[in-house]
Amino acid sequence: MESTLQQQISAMKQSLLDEGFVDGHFVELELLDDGDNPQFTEEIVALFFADSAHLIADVEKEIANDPINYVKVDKILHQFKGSSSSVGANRVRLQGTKLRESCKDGDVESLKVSLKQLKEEHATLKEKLDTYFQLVKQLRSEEKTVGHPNEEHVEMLAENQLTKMAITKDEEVDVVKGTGNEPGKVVTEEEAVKVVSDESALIVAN
Amino acid sequence: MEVVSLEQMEMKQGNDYKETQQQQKQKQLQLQQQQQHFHVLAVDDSIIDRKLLEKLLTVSSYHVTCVESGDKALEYLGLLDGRDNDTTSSSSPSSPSFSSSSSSFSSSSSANSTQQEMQGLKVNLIMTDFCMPGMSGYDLLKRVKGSSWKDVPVVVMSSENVPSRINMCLEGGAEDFLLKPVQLSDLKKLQPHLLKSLSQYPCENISSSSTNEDDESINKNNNSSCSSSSSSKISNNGVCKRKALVSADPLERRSKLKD
Repeated sequence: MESTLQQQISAMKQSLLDEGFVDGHFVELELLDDGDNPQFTEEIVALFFADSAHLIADVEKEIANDPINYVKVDKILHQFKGSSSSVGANRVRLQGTKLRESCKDGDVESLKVSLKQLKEEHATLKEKLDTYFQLVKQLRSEEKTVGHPNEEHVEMLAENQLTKMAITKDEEVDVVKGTGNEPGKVVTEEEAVKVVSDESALIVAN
Repeated sequence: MEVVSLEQMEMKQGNDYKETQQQQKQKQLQLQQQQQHFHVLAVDDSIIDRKLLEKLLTVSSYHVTCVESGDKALEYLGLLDGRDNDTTSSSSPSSPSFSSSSSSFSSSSSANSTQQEMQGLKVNLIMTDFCMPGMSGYDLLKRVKGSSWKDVPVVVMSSENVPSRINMCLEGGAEDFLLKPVQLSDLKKLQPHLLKSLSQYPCENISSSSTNEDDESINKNNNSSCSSSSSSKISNNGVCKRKALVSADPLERRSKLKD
């Protein structure tokens, strides 16, 4: 039932995870995209790239000084670590840590190499996520024209719910739309949909 | 001898099941309603973390106010310049008025205590980052605990897992210590702390008379998560003075975060 675009997005997300560009926290962020703010992840990631670009520029400036103020650099990189972990930017965060470690060695040349690598990781991630969010945006506009996907999802869950509520330990049940006059375990589709909607709402909220 | 038909028995079972479902739904609804009255003050110097916290808290149905520093937090609470309301009879601090409940607070110099009293500024929970320029989260914690806001639970957050730091905060009166990045599951564990704070604002509660009952039943549901939250953040060197129950999941997640 998934569209090709949906498959593309899932595949890209999986590869971002597999290659360590993003980690589980990125996935957590996407769970927060909701009706009120479907672009939350995109927004917070954009905020990250803007903020971290400044931090990287600040580090570059400090490293160009002689002598280098390592305390200041460490502070900047601490901030960098925090924000990259908050958006799940895994490889970027790890490279930032490497850079922080090489500050302790005091070897300016390896420091500059490390910084260069950080900038590369940063740029690579930005490129990949720009592409990813473009696809997501496309999917969102597709969904708007076709119809709210959640409706289909809720219908499917409702069917499952009917089955769940009808089945007792020892019986198999054919899910049949009843008239409401049958005794015992018949649940109206309305009731089932309501239970499912409530559950979905809770899941979303959770 | 009364014969009860199988059909009748099954009908009763079905009805009982529906009743329990209804009761559960009612409890959930009550909890959600109470949560909508919770106001969290979030303190973090990182704009990204503020945005994240705001989202996490809003999704969890709390009202949020985000500030960027300990000083701003104190200003919001009316504790700047060592001003404290312990000695006054009114519980609402005289401080700049704030209108929206989900917002970033930017200080205004006009004090409007009448509006303040009408609004009845309340904060059910303070969440603060540990490492901040200027006033640290720990400093903020101590200031709050030494003020009229001392009964408000304070939770400290940090991206670094330093047991001595965690202990220091807990000893300093922090309700809990969260490792960043904060996730939804962390907020769920904070629920019991927030429910405790309901007793501070009896007139604000929807069903103040039944608060205790709700607390008990809700606390029972949350007991496992409550008792596991604090100790799981502390390393296994046994320095922890809180409850000893440990749940495996948070620990696993924590160790994955370490570089």
